[in-house]
Amino acid sequence: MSSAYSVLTPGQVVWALSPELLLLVTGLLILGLDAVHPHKEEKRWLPHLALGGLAVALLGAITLWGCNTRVLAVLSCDPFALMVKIVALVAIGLVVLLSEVYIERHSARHQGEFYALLLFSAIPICLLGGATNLVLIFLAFDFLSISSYVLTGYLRDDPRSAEAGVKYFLYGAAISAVMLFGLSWIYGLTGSVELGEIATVLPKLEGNTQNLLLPALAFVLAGFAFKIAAFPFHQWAPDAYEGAPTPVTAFISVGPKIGGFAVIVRVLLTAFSPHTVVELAGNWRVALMAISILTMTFGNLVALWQTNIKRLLAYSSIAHAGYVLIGVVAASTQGIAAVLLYLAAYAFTNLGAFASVIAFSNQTGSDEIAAYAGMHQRAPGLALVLIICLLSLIGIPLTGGFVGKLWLFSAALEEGLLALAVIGVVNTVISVSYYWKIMRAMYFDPPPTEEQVVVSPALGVAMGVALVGIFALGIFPNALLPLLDAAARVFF
Amino acid sequence: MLNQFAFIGCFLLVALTFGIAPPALAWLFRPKKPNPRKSQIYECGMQTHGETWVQFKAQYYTFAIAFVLFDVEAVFLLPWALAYNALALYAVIEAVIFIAILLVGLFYLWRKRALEWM
Repeated sequence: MSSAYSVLTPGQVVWALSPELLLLVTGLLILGLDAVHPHKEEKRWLPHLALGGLAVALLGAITLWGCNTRVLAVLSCDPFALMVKIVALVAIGLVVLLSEVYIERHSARHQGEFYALLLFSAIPICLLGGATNLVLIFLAFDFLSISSYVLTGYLRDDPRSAEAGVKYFLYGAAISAVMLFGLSWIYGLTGSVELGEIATVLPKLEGNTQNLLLPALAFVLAGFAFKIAAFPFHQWAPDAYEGAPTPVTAFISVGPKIGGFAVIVRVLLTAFSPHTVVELAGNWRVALMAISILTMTFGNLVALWQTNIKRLLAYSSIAHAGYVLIGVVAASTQGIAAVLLYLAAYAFTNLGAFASVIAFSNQTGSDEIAAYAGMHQRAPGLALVLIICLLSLIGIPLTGGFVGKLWLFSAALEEGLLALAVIGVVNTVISVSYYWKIMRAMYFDPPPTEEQVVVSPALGVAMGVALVGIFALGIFPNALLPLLDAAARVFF
Repeated sequence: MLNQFAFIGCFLLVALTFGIAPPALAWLFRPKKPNPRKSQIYECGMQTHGETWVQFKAQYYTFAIAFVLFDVEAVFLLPWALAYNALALYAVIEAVIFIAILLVGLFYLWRKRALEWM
């Protein structure tokens, strides 16, 4: 954090906050316009307005590239934060595309709320990318959580959706309190909520007080692990994923993970950096390594038994959080660059996979893997997209998933974490078998009917964008290398 | 450091004993002769008439939540109003934006007919 404390003019502050402000304005506009016509069922323009807002916010984030300063003393506007914002905004744009037909079909009356909530949940993810203050981190975390709970229970007439929302809420509320407790300890021990100041105070603390930081850090890590659905704090994920409306499942499998990893990286590498507090950093690295190993192994092993594709993708997303943690444990420039690349590749891949799942269930109404039998005859294009996404989730060359895994594992090897890399590779091999289950059903099982599956234009666009993303990251990752490197260097 | 925590430990023990001892002693020494009149609720509210499992209209909660929202707004605005003369234009604009956001919410509630008792 070499940036100077320069005072920005109000204009510059507004510019630096433009992505968040634009999202807020668009969200409020959607709510307002939706309220002006409360009884019109035809609301095609709502998702388009949401997409427009996201696009302008994305533009704002891109024009800010290169800026490296503090905003309002609680936010950092640096390449890492902007990278997180760009990935998050693109991902949520894809979620809007995924939602269009599904939401119109299932809850035509309350579409405005849905898109407004989706935009409002993009704000905390953007804030989490740059937050350098424990209070702001907690507020943004809860902001993100609350909008996710509501979105999960969005189909309120559907008991499964409501149950998923309540489960997610109860689990999240408890974890949120635990995390706040941990944050209060950190504040009590260091006398500051500012990550930069904590970093300067920590090395000066006596040994005894430093030991007290361990339980505090454990509580805080529990909160972070909940957001990314890492091993002991993952129980909410399968139920929430299965019960939530499928576009929301796609969102909570990507959005909170991006925000969660951004905070994990920033908090651990700024305040508890291995360069300043060697012993403490050694402790959290061991803890995260254990969580990473348990998360990927557990996610992959349980995924083997799943028969519902949403539940299978839920366990697969738990496993993927485990892979990404490898990069955090490595705690090096390569590691953080790999985390960002993997998150981007994972966002495109998972959203592409969910686009196919939604297109399929829009027509057939089923999420069971058995229903995917013979899909290549009923919808050859859709089957192909799903196959490419699954291959990227496995990590087959030419896809973004492959490059992401390659970077993560090589970052681990670079830091001498041979065991972690080996366990990651073994897990990748395990994951092949459950992804293969879907592929086998699609290509080798006979279809129950010959009825063709029709894909809506919005879903088609989403799949196209996802495929372009997957292959761009898979074939030309080096074009992104300088950008990712700049983002990772913020912490070193 | 440890001594201070030992002090807290002692304090906790004393506090617990202080709380538990009187009812425990009373339970030990009191005469136990219940009769139906004595077992009645005494100053614990009215006796219920009819079914106890009454269902409340859930719509009440939308009003409650909207009320809490504007209640909190008032709490935020009070210090702002008190310090109004000392504040820069910036803070005034911020408060206006804050109120505007809440007003959009109120407008939304109103248009979605959440404020009508149905």
